[in-house]
Amino acid sequence: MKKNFKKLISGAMALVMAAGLMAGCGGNGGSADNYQIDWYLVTGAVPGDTSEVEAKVDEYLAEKLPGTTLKMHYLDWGSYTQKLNVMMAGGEKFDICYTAGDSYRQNVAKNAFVPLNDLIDEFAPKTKEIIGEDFLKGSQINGVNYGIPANKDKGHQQGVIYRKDLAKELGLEEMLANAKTLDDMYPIYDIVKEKRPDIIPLKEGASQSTPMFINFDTVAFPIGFMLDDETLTPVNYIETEEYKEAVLRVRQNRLDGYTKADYKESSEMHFAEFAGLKPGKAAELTVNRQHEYGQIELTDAYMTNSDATGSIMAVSRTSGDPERVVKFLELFNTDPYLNNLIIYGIEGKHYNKIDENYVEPIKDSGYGNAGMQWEFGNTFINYLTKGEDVNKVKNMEEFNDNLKQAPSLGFVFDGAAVKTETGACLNVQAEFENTLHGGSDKDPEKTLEEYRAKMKAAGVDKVLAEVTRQLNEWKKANGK
Amino acid sequence: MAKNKKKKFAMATQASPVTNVIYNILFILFAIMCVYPMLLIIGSSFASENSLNTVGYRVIPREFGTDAYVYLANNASVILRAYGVTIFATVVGTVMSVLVCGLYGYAISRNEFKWRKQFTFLEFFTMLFSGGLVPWYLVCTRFLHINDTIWALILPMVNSAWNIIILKTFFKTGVPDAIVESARIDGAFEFKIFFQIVWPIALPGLATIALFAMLGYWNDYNNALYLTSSKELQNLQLYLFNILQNIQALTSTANTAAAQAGHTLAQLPKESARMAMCVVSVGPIILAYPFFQKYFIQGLTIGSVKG
Amino acid sequence: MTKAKTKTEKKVRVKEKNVFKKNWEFLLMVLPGTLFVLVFSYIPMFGILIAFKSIDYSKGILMSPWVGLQNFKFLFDNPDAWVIIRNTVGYNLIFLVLGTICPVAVAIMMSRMTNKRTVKVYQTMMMLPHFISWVVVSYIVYAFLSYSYGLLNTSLLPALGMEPIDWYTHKQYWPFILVFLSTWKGLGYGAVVYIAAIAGIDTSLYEAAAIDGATKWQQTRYILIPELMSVIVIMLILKIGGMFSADFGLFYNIPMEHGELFPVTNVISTFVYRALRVNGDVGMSSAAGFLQSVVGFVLIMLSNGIVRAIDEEKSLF
Repeated sequence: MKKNFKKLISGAMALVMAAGLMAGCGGNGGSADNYQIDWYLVTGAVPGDTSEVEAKVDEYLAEKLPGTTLKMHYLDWGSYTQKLNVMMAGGEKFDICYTAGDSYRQNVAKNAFVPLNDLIDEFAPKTKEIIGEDFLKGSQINGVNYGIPANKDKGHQQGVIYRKDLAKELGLEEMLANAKTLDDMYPIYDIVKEKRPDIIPLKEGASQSTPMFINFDTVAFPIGFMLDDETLTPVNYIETEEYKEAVLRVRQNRLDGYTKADYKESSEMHFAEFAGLKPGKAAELTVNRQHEYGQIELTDAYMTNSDATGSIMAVSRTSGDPERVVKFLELFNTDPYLNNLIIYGIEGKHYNKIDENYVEPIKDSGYGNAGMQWEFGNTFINYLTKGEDVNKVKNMEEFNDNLKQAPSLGFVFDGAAVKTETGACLNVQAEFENTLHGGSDKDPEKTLEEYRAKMKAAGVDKVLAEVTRQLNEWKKANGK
Repeated sequence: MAKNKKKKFAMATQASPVTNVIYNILFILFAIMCVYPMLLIIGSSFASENSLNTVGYRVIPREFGTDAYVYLANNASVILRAYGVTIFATVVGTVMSVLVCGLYGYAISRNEFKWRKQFTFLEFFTMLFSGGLVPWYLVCTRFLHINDTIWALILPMVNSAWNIIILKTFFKTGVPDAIVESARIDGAFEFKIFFQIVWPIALPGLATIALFAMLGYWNDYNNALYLTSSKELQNLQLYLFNILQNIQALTSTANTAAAQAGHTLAQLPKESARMAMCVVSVGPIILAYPFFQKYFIQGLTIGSVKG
Repeated sequence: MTKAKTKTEKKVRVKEKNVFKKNWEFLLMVLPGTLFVLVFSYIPMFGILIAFKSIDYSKGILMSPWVGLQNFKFLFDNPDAWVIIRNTVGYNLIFLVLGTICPVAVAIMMSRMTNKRTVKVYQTMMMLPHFISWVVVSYIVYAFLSYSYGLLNTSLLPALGMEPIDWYTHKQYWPFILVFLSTWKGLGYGAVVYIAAIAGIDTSLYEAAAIDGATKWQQTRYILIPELMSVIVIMLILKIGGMFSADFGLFYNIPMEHGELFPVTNVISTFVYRALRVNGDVGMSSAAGFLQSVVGFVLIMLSNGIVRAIDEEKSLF
């Protein structure tokens, strides 16, 4: 029996080898003169039927990129990453996928995408111009572009969004207009607290918390740079004086009755909340919420690496024709008809045109990506959705022109050497951050001490040393 | 006759009236604990979003709302389709699974089978060691090509080591050797013994396994998630999973990409609709449950040993 | 000489033929299951290699470079390793005990209740929690425990004249909450096996014992429990294999990412999941999975060995 068993196993192994080898070499998709582009996209509302839109796209492509057809695969937020990771690991054929941030970097490290520098130069010159040298550089990893970032708001700043209806009711508009710092907001909260006791002045907790107003650019948590530090010296975020002040402030907010424990995410029973801002953010929120919102910027706006990798279309290593794919992306990024067709669908069926600039999506029409424009290449050539600011494009251009560049733009940290430590650090973060950022901790000073000590034990200094080492190399190479 | 006997001698098959009352009280308490959350879910599905936000879940909502049912009505075609897929996969899968596991479990339960230990081990080993998702995905898509077919929702779960081993135990303890022996002496084939003699005796065990298989198929979303991409093959659990996961992905602070899309959260169904979906996904299986119950509640009196 | 040799050869061949003749039906019976298990479980097993590799998608699993035990390092190279392992094993031990005693007790009680119709109702109700996913359970738990809105703080505690408790920041309550939920969710499902096993017991055994004057307790002790023992033992052995794994849904969703609770809620699978979010390294999760399997395997072999030494009939193999 033992022998039979061995035979069985060796037989199975042979099959395995075949499967494993197959995994190595990607598929190929059709002949050169007829190629289907498989495109993976993420959304919160998967369209019921993409075939009509695809037919229209194909019709158009027959003219502009003969022999090319498009197949769009929309996946839910919940399953997107999982499914795509398995597909990439399995070497399945596809051409383009949406990716961003950590997931982009991780998959580049695993060789999932095609280097695009030369292809972009040759086949997507207009895209390159639109996106701009700096932003493109920010999305590079070790000098290589593995995808094309979306042309949208290219930076972020921190601020507050507030209920416009309440501001009007309580006569706070002028005070709000003059608010320039976090401190300027407190007198406003006091009035809210006094006049509308049923409303919570400020929603604070988890990711929306005072520490986000520290201008910090995370490289490998908690290591990163202060954005205004021209010398570009890596620091440990939680060891900074600023962080300590911020967490103490969080607790004080709770004690002073500005915030409340256990405040429900989806509820809108608060006056203000912290948010990362871009032009038109409040207007965008208003479209999907019960109340009207306004926004106040409270920090400078910066362009960082995470902004540049916030929304990327990457080309898969398994694509049979990356050249054609880049040509398609060039067309998609520069051709308003194609771009709007893919975002909003077919006029009269999926959306109605209100005027030159505005469209109104038809409810339950089975297709449409309103609210997800930032995913689709070039926001500057989209129609506006009803309710959006007429000046959205102008404001966005202005915003982009006035961005301060993070000194670290283009520096990407390779965490392979310290992945044990970064993993442990993340666990420590998960253990302490919610507590400290939510305001329910009764002794934040003591907790912070614990946090710092535990982070040390998790090997944060090793991460700091590795970041410093790589940074010095990068500085040398880039003449900084 | 039998009843008389039971009364005369205190048999451990029946509790005395006093104990019976105590048992009933205990079960009522526990049943309330099990039903109450379900009532909360049902109640919340009828609550207005506003009252969910301010007072939270209540069995009788403070403020009624129809959001959830408007949402369900709007998506009726998708939900019905998902029902169809789930029911088909569950029925076909359960039948296949019980047959395959039943035969396997019976064979390895018989001492006459020379390689029973090896074949037990073959199954048992897979309960602990697995190659992970990616190789499994490759086998299903490159080797079997079952992706994007209904078989993707059925075949991967037909064999269950857990069920086989439980069945083996049932066959070993519940089926008297004497019956099998006598049938064998009569010259019956092993298959005939299994289907005609063992099957009826082992019904409680087989019904248990059928129930487990059915629950497994009904609750499965993994196969649908990885092996199907067309909307037509989306099953009920994947539909529910996607709704819940979308919300988690968008509210989780760790997901940088999702943070960008903060406002798309509002496209997703409201909390009450999620609750209504939970109700919809549990309902039918609860109705199917008594069908299996009848096999293991009453118990079977085995008369054929003596006769 | 040669004649004798051929004779023995013949004998062996005849014997082999007999073995086959005796077993071909059984072999046919296990054939479908064997095919399924080979295709869906054994062929993919080459994936275990991932635990020892640094994955490069362009090279495929087999061709990716080896990294030795590098992927295992992160599990032990962190300050919480001890707490995480303690939690995992600790909870599993509790689940093992409660997950056996409670369902067996429920099954025995149910089998004795006089009104079978009400038993059916109880049983159906007890199955309900099995269908509610942990994510949804976490909403419900939140509805009870939320500091400002929870039912406990708004209704129950004030009625008892107690101060509201901030449940999500006080870890001392959580071992009980988690154990309670795990039992609550698994009881109906877990009892089914034992209910079926009791249903399969020949009632004439009790009859005979009762006639001989055995009390109910004696009948339970000497007939019912021994009859149930093989099922109990098998279930125990199988559960012991999961000693290093944990129910991810329970430990991840229910505490709702409250860091204050980590010392009592962090288990191996949640730790790996959180580490994975930042480095997305499948090698690490494979390593963790492999380790869980090996430990489970060793434990099962040990417990099976012990059972076999006592009563071979009841062992797994």
